Amino acid sequence: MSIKLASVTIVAAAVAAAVSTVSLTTPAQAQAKEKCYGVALAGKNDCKAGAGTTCAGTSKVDYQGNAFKAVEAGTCLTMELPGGRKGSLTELKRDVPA
Amino acid sequence: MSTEGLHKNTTDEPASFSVNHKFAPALLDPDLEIPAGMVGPNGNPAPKRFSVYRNNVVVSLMEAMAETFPSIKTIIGEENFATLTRAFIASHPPSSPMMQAYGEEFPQFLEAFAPLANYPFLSDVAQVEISWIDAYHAADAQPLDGALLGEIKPDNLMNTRFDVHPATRLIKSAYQLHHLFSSRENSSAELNFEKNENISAVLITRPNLVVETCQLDHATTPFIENLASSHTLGESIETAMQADQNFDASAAITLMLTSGAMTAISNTTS
Repeated sequence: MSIKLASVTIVAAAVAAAVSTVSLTTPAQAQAKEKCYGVALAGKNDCKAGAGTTCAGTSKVDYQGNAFKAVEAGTCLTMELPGGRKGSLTELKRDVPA
Repeated sequence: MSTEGLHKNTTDEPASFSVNHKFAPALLDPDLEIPAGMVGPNGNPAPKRFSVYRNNVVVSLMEAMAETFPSIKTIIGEENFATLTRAFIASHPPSSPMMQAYGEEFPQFLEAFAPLANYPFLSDVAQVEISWIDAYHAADAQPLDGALLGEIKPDNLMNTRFDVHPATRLIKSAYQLHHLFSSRENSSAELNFEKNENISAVLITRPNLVVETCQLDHATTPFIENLASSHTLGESIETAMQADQNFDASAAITLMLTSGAMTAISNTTS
């Protein structure tokens, strides 16, 4: 027989404190990222996938369509890029080296 | 383990490929004979060509190990790491063509490797390193939004359960595991190999496409462990308070939210 230490009051107070801390320190979507294709400069694409993979920092050309970079959520599609290019949440066919 | 995986298929393999049965094992064991039929363009046996290939195979696997286990490499030094990985490779041929998964059995290998009996923490560090890769390749999912937790009525909070994020990993250890794991970032830092009084864990999460790691204390460890195995919030806090009366439930819930260890509220039924 062990004495119960956690009570409704303790749990409710802890949750209330935590929820307010989190909402103060991380305003809603501020931390969220999305994979944005076609926006990374050559060699600056994201990915660190372990041995045997060849992706991080391997994009050959600027704004390569099948290379992504993690960007602030909600900013990918509105990103201004040279030559009228737009970022995309899915892989693109443009700027892909042969 | 051994080389069994390379020997199967004996029945359904065409006769012309029978050289493979001797080919693969000979790659990883230089004491084995070079398989018959290895000839150069002039039709003569070409042992040197086979040796070059053998070397390439072993070196590429050693490079894969160094990329996956940089902390182990830092802790034991480059030379020891090379000796150790060579021993591992000889008894653990790759079972998958995906190199990122190579080394999954390294933690168990380290634990059982007699000369390392005085370094029991190495196996824990290796487990964090392979789990890091594993978390990286886990499915994408949105972390739990703290506001949803705030909407639950106080009376229902005790019975609230959560869904664990597909990338969440917890590696328990008696050592200062996160400190040892972090040696990959600063190879010249002095390391502390002291054993702790209690078991605690490194938590690995991937809240926003980026893998994050943090050290939990000995009460937050069972808290997250319980939540991740579908225990209620009430039960999880209870277990943590039994482990340490000074358990800070509010800080632990904040960590649960900011780390992205959970994705959703799975139920609040009582």
